[in-house]
Amino acid sequence: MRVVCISCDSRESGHWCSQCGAILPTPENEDYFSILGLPQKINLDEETLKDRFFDLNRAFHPDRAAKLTDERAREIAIHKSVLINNSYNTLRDRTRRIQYLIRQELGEREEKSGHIPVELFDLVEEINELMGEVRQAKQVKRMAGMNPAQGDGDRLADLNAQLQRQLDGLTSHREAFEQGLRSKESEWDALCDSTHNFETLDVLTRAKRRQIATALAVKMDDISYIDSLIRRIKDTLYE
Amino acid sequence: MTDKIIGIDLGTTNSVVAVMEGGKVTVIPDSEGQKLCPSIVAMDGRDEPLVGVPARNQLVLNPQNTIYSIKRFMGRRHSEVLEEEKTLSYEIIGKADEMVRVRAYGGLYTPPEISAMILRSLKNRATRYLGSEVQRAIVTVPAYFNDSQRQATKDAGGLAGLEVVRIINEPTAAALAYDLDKKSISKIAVFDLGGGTFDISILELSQGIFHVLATNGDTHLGGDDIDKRLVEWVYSEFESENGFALRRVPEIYERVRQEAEQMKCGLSFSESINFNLPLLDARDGSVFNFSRTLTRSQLEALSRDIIERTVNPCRRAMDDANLGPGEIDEVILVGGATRMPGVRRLVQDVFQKEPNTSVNPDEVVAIGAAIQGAVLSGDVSDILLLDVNPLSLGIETYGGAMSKLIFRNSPIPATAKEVFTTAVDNQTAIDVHVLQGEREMAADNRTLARFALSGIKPQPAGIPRIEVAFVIDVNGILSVTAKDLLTGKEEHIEVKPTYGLRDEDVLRQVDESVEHAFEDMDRRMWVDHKQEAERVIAATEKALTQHGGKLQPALHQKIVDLLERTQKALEAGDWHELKAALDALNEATLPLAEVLVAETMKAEGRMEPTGSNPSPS
Repeated sequence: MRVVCISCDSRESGHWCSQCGAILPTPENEDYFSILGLPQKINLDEETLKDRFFDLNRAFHPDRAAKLTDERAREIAIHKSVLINNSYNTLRDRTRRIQYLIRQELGEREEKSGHIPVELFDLVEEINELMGEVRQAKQVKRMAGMNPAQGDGDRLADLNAQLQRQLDGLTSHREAFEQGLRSKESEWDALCDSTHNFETLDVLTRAKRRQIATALAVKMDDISYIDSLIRRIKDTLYE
Repeated sequence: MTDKIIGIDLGTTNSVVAVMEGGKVTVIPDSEGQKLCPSIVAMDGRDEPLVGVPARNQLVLNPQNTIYSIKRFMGRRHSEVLEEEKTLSYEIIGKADEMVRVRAYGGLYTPPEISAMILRSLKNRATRYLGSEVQRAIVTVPAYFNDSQRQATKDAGGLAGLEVVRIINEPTAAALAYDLDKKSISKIAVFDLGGGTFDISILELSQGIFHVLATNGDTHLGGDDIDKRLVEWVYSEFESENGFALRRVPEIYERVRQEAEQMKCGLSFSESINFNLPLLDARDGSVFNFSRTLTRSQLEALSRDIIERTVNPCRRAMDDANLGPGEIDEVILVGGATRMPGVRRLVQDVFQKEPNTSVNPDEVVAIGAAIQGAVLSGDVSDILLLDVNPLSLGIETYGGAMSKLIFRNSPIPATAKEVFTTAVDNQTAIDVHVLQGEREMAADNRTLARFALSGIKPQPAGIPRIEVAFVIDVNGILSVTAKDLLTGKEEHIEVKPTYGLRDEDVLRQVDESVEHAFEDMDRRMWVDHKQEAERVIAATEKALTQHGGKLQPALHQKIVDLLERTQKALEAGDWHELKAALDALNEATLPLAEVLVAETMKAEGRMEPTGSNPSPS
């Protein structure tokens, strides 16, 4: 995003004016990737990310900004340091990074982690029933004064084994989801690599970005759903 | 006036001031050559309070008006410090949800006011040393200090006439003080067990940048807790030897506490140590010694559970930093309590590495603060600290959950925004409840502030858009703004702790607030007194069976009656009555105790008259 230089009025982008070397203000809604000078990719080199974070802090951290004599420049630097920290904090975590990209592309949206992924539709009903039965069987044993963790070959042990099999099945489903996510990530990254001008995206690229972002969002929701289901099963098994 | 920025470690037990000159840091001594200033303030009716060594020297004689460990109360509400309050020899007041105040020598003081007295004394020390007035300082706080505690520390500086140019975290400061190889990249763990707080920070050092990866800790854990445990040991040893309890009055308790602290410190260097407590026999004014020997392994057994409370924060910090123990290159020890061999062993177990102890653990934080002072004044330019906020910040959402806006271990300064909406139709105001902590539910986290944004245009639920913005500055201090995006109406809040009321209100409400504080603490008081009563009843019954015959019949009967009264109060469940009964019983059994002392000493032939320095008993 281009801004007007505070010192020479030329329209510039980045942290310093290429004409006069003055510090450039950063727009509030500047993209986190551009703030850190990184490509908008999901598979980022984490060392490069950290190097940028360090380098920019060397220039703009409040400890360094304290030495700037011009008050306006000092304010800009301190504001930058906040944005640099926010950017780094979001982009350093893979999940936060993907969610950030999705939000940038599709805007704020409600998380749909409560929606059952189509692949799991029949399975989920079965698993929920099974979990109910396990809980009930445990309750029965407890009321009879027995330890639910003990007893071989009884009904509870049988149910537990069934639930464990379902859990194993879900774990391989999760791997498949994860693979689906990875392939969408690669699609996104490849699109970024072939985009030359990020400031004025052409219609086709824009459409493609939205399409991939939507697919990424679905995959993220699916994984989030399956993770919470796995957590519930584990709670039921090991409570 | 000097442009130097001094570094101050405002500690629970000791405070230290240092300054950097010509590339070298000096820890500034007082006029007697002492580098550590005990964090103790005493009021004795004179205009100026006593601070440091002079205050400590009169602690046993004036315990009610001598304030120590004030750091434990900085930015704290009364309900947060019930455990600390139990063994205090001075009085703190305030309603459960109010910031505590200290009552001493007829006056009321906020913890920042007491801390300011210490800071002022250190400021004067530095001014004398530098030969010109010091105005600016870096003050350190435990990394795990919350927003209110930081704010209170900053306020204390202001009251002492110091501009606190930066609050920095103690473990981060300590890392600066170690002259580590700044060129290479390394991971450092700083284990900081002070008098009253525990911090663990994990940093990455790269080309002069000290980048904090994660921090964790416990602000209710420190060397003081080990002292208290030793005091309890002395009390129980005394009782089992003499058959009656040593009195829990400040004059005696403080002496035992000081002895306990010395034993603890001594046992870091020797395997066993003798404990001597000269006591006055109330019957004939003679002095006798209660003495014991404590070994290092006994001390370690007594304090094991306290020390082990440091393990989980260490593990969580490593988890947050995404590092295993094998990946830590250097472990630094900070705080006097890390001199204990048991603590060092534990650190070595947790991090699988021998800790580095090359800088004095009492001075290392002040030295680091002085270095940061030089960074800010421009004298040092090859160092940069990148610190994080220790605890997540957020607000309460509909349903009582906490929505986190800034996560723990985020680099600071930082900002975050979130848009919220109304829950019911035509709602015209929303409550903004600002929280700090890691738990899911709002009620389990700490309330930093509550404020209302009113004047929202009446609309169906879900239509209004209220933006809540958090700004956390480079000191780790938060401010919050709520804005109605439709009307532009804005509410800004400094999330400042309120230290209670204006003075005139205070005087009127002091007694009332004491009452309320006790109401809130009813349950706790009951538990404490119940335990005490059961102990006293058992001890008195035992003594009565053994030596009851030596008492006058009237007194004997009185004790039996009071025993019955205490027993009844215990059954009735009212702690006020229980306390009254206990007090009366303790009073009545005093002659019995004297008989017991005399008998015990006669039996062991230990009574030795000493003419010098009779101590109160």
